[in-house]
Amino acid sequence: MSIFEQWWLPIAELVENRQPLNFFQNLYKEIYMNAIKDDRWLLYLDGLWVTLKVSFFAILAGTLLGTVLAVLRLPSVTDYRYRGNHPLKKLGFGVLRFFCWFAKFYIDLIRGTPLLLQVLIINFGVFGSIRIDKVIIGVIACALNSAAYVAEIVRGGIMSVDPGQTEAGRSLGFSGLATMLWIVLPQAAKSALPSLCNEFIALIKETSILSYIALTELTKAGDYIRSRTYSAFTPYIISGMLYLLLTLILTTLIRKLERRLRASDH
Amino acid sequence: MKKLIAMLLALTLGLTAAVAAAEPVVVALNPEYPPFEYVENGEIVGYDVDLIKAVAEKAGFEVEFNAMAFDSVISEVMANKNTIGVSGISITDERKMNVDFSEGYINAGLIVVVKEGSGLAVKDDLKGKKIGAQLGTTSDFAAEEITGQANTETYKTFLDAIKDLQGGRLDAVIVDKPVGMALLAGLKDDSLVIVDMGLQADWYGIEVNKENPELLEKINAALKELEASGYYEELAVKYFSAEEEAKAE
Amino acid sequence: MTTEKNEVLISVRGLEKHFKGGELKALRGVDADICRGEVVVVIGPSGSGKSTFLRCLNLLEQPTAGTISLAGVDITDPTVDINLHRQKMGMVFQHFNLFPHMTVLRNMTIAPIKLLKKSREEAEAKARSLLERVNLEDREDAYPSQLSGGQKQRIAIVRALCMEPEVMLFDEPTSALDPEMVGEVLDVMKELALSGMTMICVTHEMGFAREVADRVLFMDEGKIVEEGTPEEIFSSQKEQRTKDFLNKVL
Repeated sequence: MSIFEQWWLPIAELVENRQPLNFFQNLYKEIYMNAIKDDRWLLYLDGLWVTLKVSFFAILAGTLLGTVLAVLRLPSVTDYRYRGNHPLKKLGFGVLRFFCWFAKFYIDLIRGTPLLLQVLIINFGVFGSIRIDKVIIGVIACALNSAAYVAEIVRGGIMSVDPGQTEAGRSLGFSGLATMLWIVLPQAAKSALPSLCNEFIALIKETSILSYIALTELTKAGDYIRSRTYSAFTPYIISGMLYLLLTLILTTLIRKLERRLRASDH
Repeated sequence: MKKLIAMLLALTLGLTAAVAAAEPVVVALNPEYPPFEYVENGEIVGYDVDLIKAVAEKAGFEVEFNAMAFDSVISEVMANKNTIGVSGISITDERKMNVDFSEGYINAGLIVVVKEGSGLAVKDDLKGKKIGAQLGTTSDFAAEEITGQANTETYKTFLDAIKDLQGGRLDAVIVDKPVGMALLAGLKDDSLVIVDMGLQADWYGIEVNKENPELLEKINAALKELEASGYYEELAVKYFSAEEEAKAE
Repeated sequence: MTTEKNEVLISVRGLEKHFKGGELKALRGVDADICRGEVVVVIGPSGSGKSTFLRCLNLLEQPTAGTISLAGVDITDPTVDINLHRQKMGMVFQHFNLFPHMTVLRNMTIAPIKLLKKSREEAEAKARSLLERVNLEDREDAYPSQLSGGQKQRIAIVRALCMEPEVMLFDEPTSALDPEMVGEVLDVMKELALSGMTMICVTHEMGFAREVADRVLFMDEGKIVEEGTPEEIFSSQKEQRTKDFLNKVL
C-alpha cells in the first residue's frame, strides 16, 4: 500500500460515516480521488500527449496552409505585374485570380463560423463514414481552422516588408516564388511572430473542442475523470494547469526564436 | 428617461417579489435522452419531466427546468442545495457518496445497438470491440467493464455515438433500453439493430443535495403515492408503447 | 579586356509605359541603343520618366508598348524566361534594398548559389574579392543595419556584380545618401566604368556624367529630348529644354 493510500484511509472512513471534512482533508480527498486513485494521473498524461500531438501537427499544417493562402491573397498576385496578352499568361492570370478569390472566400468562411461546428461537420459529415484515427480528424479540423487566421497574420507580415525587397530579389533574377521564399517571408515572419504566437496559443486551447468528437485529449481526460469521481471542478484545474504548462513552454520557445531573428537589427 | 427608470424599478421589484414568493426547485437535466427527457416544439418533455411535475404537485413545490450536459447534472446538484437531478440517472454507490438519491422509479436495463449483420450477439462478443456510450452514464461504465477504457469512446450525447456507429467507426453503442427503443423508432435506419445482451442496469433515481433531507423526504413520499396510484404504468404506456409497437412490427 | 564598343547590347524601340489605365503616360515612345562597354548617363527633371525607363529595361515595370532586346533577344516576349535575363542585368537602387535579415556575405552569395548553382566556397571567394575592391573586406559578417548609407550602397553594387552581369543599371544611386558619402559610391562607379562594364545610370550627379559618361541622354516628358557626348550636352545643347534644365541644376 502506497503512502498516498495510507493517508487516504482515515479520510475514507470519515466520508463513509458522513462526517464533515476540514479544508485539508477535503483538499486531499479531491487530489486523491481525481489524480491518485486507480492511477488516474496517467489519464491526464495520455490526454496531454494527445493534445500535444494534435496541436503540434495542426500548428505545422495550419501555418503552411495559412502561408500559402496569404501569398495567394497578395495584391501583387492580383495585379500580376507581368501579365501580357499571350494566351498562356492570360490563363495563368485567370487561375491566380480564382485562387485569390477562393482564398478570400475560405478565410471569411472559416473565421465566420464557430470551430465547434467545423469540427462536428468534419467529423460527422466529411469523414462521416471513414474509419480513421480521431487524432487525424482533429489535426485536419484544427489546421483548416488555424490556417485562416494564420493567413491574415502572415499577409499583414508580408505587407509590412518594403516592396524594394521584392524588387531587389527579382532584379537579381529570383523568380517571384523564390523571392517570396528567401527574401520576403523570412522578414515577414519576424514581424508576424508575436501575432502568430497568440494564434498558436489559441489553437492549443481550442483543441479542447475535440472532446466533442470523443477524442480523449486533455479536456476530455478531465471530463472523464469527473464523470467517475463527481468532483465539481478539480479535474478541470489539473487539466488547466497542464494547458498552462504547454502554452508557457511554447511562449518561451517563440521568445527565443524572436530574439534570434532580432540578431540582425542592432 | 423617467419611463425607463420606472420600468427598471418595476422590473427589479417584480423580480424580488417573485423570488420572495416561492423559491422553485431547480431541476437539472440533459434533455437529449428521449423518451426520458427531450425537447419537442421548444419545450422540455418526457417521462422524467411528467414524473417530476407530478411529484412536485403532490409534494407542493414549484419546479424550474435547467438544461445542461449530463456530466454536469451531478455537480449542479452537489453545488446547489435547491437543485435536484432528474435525468435518467442510475443509482450507483459512487454517486451516492456525493448526492442522496430518492427511491428508484424505473429499471429499464441496457441494450446494445449494433450494425445489422455484425454477428455481435452476446456480451463476450463485445470484448475488444470499440464501444460508444454517453460519458458518465451506466452505459459508459458497462462498456468500460466489457471492453476496457481504451476501447470505450465517450460522447457528450449518445446521439453522437450513434452517428459514429452509423459511420462505421464504432462496433456497438450501449444505451438505456427505453432510450434505444425510442431512438431506433425515430431514426428509421434499417442498418442498425438492437440486441439485448442482458446487461444489468441500475434503478433510475432522483438526485438530491445531501444537505436537503426535507426535500428528499417529500419526494420519496410523493413517489410512493404515485406508485400506489398506478401512475408509473400510465407513464410507461404513454412513453414506451410506441416503441413496443415498433418492435412488434 | 577587349570590348567592341559598337556591338549593340540593349536595343529599345518605341517604348511606352502608361500608369493608371493610360491616364498617366510616363514614357511616350523611347528609342535607344546601348553598346557593350558603354557608360550611358540619363539625366532629366523629376517626373521626366528616366527612372521608369531604367526599370523597364529589366522589366521591373512591364512596358505598355514597345520592345527591348538584350543581346538580340526580345525580352518583352512573354515566352522568354525573364528571370534568366535579369541575371545578366545588375540593378542598384536608390534605397539600397539590401536584405536586412542576411549578413553582407550572405547578401552577396545567395543569388550566385541559388541561381548560378555555384558552390558556397566559390561564391564566397568571389564575394570576398569584390569586398576587397570596395574596401569593405572587414564587414562581411555585418548586418545591413550596422552599415552606413555609403557602405550599404557599395555592398549593393558588389552584390549585383556577384552575378557577373553584362550590364549594370543604376537608379539614382546617390540620392538617398548623406553628402559626405556620395564620393565613396561615385568612386566605385568610376572604377567600374573604367573596368569596361556596360552601365546605364540615372543620376543627378552632373560631375559624374561629365567625367565618366560616354554618352548622355536628356529625358523630359517621357521622351529622349537630346543625346550626345558629355561635351555636346553640357556645353553646346541644341534644345531649349536641355538648356533650361542644366541652368537650373548647374
